[in-house]
Amino acid sequence: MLDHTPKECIERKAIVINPAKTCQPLGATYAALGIHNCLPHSHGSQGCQMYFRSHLSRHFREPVEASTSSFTEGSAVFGGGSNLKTAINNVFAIYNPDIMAIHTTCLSETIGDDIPTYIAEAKIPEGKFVIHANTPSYVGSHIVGFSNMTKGMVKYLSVNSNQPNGKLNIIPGFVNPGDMREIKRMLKSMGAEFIMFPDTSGVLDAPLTSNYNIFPEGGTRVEDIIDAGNSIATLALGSFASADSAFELKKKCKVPARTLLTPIGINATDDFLVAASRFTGKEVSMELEEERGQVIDIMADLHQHYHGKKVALFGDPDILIGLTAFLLELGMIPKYVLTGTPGEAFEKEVCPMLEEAGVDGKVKAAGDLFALHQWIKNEPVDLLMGTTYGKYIARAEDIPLVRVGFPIMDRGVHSYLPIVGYRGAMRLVEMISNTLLDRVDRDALDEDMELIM
Amino acid sequence: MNKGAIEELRNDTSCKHYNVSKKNCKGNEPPGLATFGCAFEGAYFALAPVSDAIHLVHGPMTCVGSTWEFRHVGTTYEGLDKTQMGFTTDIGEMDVIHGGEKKLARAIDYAVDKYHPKGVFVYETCMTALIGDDIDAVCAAAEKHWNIPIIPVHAPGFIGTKNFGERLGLEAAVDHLVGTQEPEYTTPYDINLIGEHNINGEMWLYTPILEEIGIRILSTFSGDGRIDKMRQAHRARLNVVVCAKSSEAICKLMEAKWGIPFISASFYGMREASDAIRRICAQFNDPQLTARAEEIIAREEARVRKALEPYKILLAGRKAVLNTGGNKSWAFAVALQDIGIEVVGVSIRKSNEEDKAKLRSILSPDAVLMEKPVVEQVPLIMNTKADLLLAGGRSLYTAVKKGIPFIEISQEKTGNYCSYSGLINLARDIVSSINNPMFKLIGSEAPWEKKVIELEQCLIKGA
Repeated sequence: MLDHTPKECIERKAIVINPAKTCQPLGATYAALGIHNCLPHSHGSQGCQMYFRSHLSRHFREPVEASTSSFTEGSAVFGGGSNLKTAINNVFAIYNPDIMAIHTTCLSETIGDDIPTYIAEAKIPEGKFVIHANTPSYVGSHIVGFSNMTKGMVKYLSVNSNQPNGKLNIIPGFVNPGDMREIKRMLKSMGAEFIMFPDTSGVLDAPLTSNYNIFPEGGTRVEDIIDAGNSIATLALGSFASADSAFELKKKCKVPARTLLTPIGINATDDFLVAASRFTGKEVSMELEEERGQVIDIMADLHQHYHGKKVALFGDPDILIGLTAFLLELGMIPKYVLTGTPGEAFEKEVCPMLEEAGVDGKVKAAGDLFALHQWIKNEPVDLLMGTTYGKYIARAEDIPLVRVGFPIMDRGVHSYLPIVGYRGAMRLVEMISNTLLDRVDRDALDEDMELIM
Repeated sequence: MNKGAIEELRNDTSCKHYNVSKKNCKGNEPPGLATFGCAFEGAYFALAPVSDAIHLVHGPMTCVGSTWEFRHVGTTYEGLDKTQMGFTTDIGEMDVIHGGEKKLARAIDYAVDKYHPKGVFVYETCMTALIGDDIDAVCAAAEKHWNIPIIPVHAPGFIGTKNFGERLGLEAAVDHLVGTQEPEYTTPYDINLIGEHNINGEMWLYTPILEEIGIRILSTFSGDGRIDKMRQAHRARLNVVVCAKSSEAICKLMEAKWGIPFISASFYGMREASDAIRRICAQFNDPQLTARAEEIIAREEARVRKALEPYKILLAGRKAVLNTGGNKSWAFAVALQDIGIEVVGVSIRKSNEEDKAKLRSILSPDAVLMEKPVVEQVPLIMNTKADLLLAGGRSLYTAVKKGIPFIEISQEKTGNYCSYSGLINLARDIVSSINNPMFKLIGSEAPWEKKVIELEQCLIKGA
């Protein structure tokens, strides 16, 4: 019995049902995994980090190593300083990473642990780094945590040493390693030099070889994050997960910053490539131009199958904004756009997009899946796009689901393949149109089955 | 929860391993190591299978955001299955400053008003314990207003391990619920199942057998559980502890209060399942019941032996390493032995002294008991040339990286390996894991990396 949701919408202030987000420390852990040889560390109770490891492991189907300060009620009362110092010793003695990235939790934030002082007092082995970010779980979401940890990297590491490196900084946002790979491939195809951080490709999509190392080959090198202070400019892909760090870098190292949409769909990818080309002076390659033409060709071939279909979207803000833009390019109707991440900025960004396209839709930040389900009950849609958690709504309402975003824990391969760039657009069109057409085939009467569609 | 009560719980001298190691009772890992579950998770997972109750987590969103529906628990409940939903007060910055009691009261009101549950479990978390919300008072007021049990569960994450939390959760349920309602009727063969969570419907692989013998399951804590059944649990003649040792504590409570004796039983593996049934029946001292049990055991064992024949040929001489917790370590070891697999290593990180003793009696003297599986597991697999790893979700992907066939046996698993039929499922899944052609690719070099000599020979031949 999956249909738990009553149709009537009632204002709820005190209760969240079926959350559509997780908390800051998870995002901070994910960002930290994008540094080469880095061990993420959670300064709080031991259960917290276990949840993040579970979630990340299930989404990527990869091992995720991380440590914790393992608070007791004693630490909750007297502060977690000694726990953290012990943890720093143990981490370097046992795991020996190049860098340890500490994030706080609701518990350590509330008791007011002073992490920079603890780090200063700890014994850190020569040549190793310890950075930190404040990530109270009761503020924001995992996207804010990702942003804060990335900002922490800039604060602790990046330096402008007056030696321009001719590189472009890219902050990719909370996207899959497959997306990060695609962004790098596009830049390489142009011959542009760049520093991407964090970069989980090669970490959370590492190949299976006979030599297993808890720190895989991938991830941004610490020296590159330091050198990011010497770059030409920073492109922050997605205002929620990336912009803050880009502006921190601007403030600290005078590196010009520019915020773009996560490059999902034609226009956003165009904007990304144009910006990359302007800053680096490299031309967009023939290869990419060819891919762009291919996507447009595909859209021309298939548009009748998805045109005018209504979609309910939920997930993380940057990806949703990119997806909304792309769905509008496709001629689809993003009827409901809901994120669990709080912040009016989301509504301010998405509502005008819908208005301009003449779509009468609903947009909500700090929402939960219960609310989304109620909307769908009151006015149904043709397609649901979002994470694994959407499958309950999909089943209750008999709507097809395209899985996109984080977390996807019931399907594989998604983290290896991009949704960004032209290749990502191609993949999205394939997923959307196939899902809709499978539904048409499923529902067709015997006499209506069509061979060619 | 006051400090004295916590200490009292931890210093449970009736624990057989009390003098040997207090680790399992105290249970926080040293800072700086990889991480394991917390007390909140234990309490939530212990009670979440109760499907006619609302499970409301009073804390920031992630405590439930990262746990709801992570474990699939089967239920026969015909109403709205509330185990599939995540309810939370989503404590925010302002609540941390001003307190979350009013928000909690409103959340309970909303949930009860909209869903008409039989009861509400309210889970305290690190945050709400720290800011000192008086959850007891809020629950008591709501209970009075709505006239259903509203049960505060005090197991904030920092208080200890998952096992400890499981115990706290079950104790809250016993304290609050048991003995508050009389069953419609009783039989001389009424039992309670304690610590059985019915993950993936595992319980249903042996409860029909018990019922066929003539034993009635009066109440479960808490697989396929119901509030009313839990309230009636004091009328059972026997408590059967199925899962973790942590649940024995509540049996002791019920023994002291209502004189219900208890036994531990495991239904993993054929020998253990038969043994469990025999020991349950022995408690009733009824020759007819015992005779019926023997008949059914003989029938089931014959059925399983026949079904296992083809698998046993394929699995002969195979070796396995087990990384799981508590009594599952020896329970699965027995199951593996039953299908003809040698167990060469077992993690005992989450096992207590009794579990360890049991393991030593089951395993061959060469088998390794791993204290620190994080460090020991991989070398052990390499050294023993083990064919198979049985592990939980977070160890699983490390096994994949090492190219070792695996079976997942965590709480989030999808397989179902309990009792007689479960053993056949286990053999089937192991065979399909070991025999997948992919494992021949793992660890082998790509063709262009093969020895240069061979290539040169090819060239010579080609010329």
